[in-house]
Amino acid sequence: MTASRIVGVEILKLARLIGCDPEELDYLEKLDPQVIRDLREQVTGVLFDGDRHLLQRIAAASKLLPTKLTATIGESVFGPLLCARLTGVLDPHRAVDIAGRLPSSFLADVASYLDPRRASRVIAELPPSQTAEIAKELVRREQYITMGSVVGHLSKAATVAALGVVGDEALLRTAYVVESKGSLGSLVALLPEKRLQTIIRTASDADLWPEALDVMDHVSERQRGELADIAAGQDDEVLEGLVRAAQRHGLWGVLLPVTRAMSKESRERFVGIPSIQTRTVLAAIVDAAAQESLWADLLVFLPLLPAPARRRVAALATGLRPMFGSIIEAAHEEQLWPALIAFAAELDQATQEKIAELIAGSEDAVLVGLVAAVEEAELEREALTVMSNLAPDKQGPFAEQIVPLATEDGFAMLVKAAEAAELDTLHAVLVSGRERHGVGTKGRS
Amino acid sequence: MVYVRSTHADRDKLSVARTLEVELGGRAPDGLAALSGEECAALAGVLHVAKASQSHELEAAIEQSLGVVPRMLRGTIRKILFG
Repeated sequence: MTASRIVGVEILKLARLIGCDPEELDYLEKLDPQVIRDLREQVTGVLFDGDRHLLQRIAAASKLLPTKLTATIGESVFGPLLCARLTGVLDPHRAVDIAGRLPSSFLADVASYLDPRRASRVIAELPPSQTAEIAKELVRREQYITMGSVVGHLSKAATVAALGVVGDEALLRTAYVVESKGSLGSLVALLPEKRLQTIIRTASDADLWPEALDVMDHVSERQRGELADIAAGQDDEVLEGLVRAAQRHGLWGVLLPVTRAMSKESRERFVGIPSIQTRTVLAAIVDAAAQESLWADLLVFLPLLPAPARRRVAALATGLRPMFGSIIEAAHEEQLWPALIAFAAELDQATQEKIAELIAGSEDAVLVGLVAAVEEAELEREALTVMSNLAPDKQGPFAEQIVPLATEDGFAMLVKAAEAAELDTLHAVLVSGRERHGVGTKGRS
Repeated sequence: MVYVRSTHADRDKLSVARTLEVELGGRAPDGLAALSGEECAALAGVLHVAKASQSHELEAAIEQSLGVVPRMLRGTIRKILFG
């Protein structure tokens, strides 16, 4: 969700709590969303605790009355706001009994004033059929924020019942403003694959990709992969729409990790979409990776691009020079050396030199990973070509570092590659490195 | 030693910040410092109205509901409510 939209939602929530028009709080737009959230927490406390003694006495007095009469008084005299405040101090079982006597439309009113944390047990103990009726009413009123505030408090049975009556579009809009984003994973887990398919198609048809991507951003890696594969399985037109939405709403910071979570086949299909390969889109992707340090995600994405698109990224990469250290770190941590080497080999000489210097200056642990990855992926020629951009006086010390880390076979491949690529200096220092330090003397564990 | 003279605007903002803290029942979130004195005053104002109207509505609802409960229970309920 973009920062301005989060702020808008937070202002709306606060305005509802206070009982004023959101426009009256426009001056809060300049604040960080978390500050408005903290303010709402504090205001909730003041409003719910300010009249707490009186509310507790009302709750105690209500015990003397039959449930039906209490419900009637609640609906006709107290109204939804005061009933919402009272819900927090009533015995949960009694509150559920009273709710059972009230129409769904009134309970939907109460729900919009409720502090779900203070009424969590009441929400959890409502019968699923009643929860579904209230949900239906809230959808009719398009009160997604209210629905989103109670999602994490519903019982599993009530959630399933509500999912059955809430349409795909309303579900996406609710998920977007859900208070406890951590509950989105268990919500998605309750949806069968067929439903997830229709939800993704709805995201495309109703232009709700920001909502759908927000869900993918807040679920587990496995679920993200499942949802991303469903998305990648759609028609080209749907995927073009996803690219356009990411571009329009600045969502590559979310979509890039989603792309990484896809299966290899899905990722290839998605990256093959022509609109993703334009210079503007690639620049936005590289920008998002730079802003949010999504280097591993970018490295997974890059090798799948066709050569002309990779060259476009390479042209953009000069601006990333200050971040190459982080990119190398990501390649090491996520074992993405082949992607980095292949990409580095396509960069201009000065940029390759910078990368080569950073690699040469890396700790042994990083070089161990590099040497092993090069050997496994048979990228000796590409790796040595990048490293040959090191100044001649730095090539010797680099060779002395890596020769003891190589296996006999790996070393032979390095020498052969240096020879074939006519990298004479590197060839010479590799051979002398072997004589001075021996191959495999630092052995890889 | 350097003495910093506080301006009227500083003193006004300080006093508004105190009013806001009264309405919030404690220290305001730090991020609210980005609001101007006028904006703090507006926020304190809407909070004051919200609290007052909630208490007022509660008292009115209690009075009105006493007229609805069975006559024989009214005394006991009144006692629970008002001591």
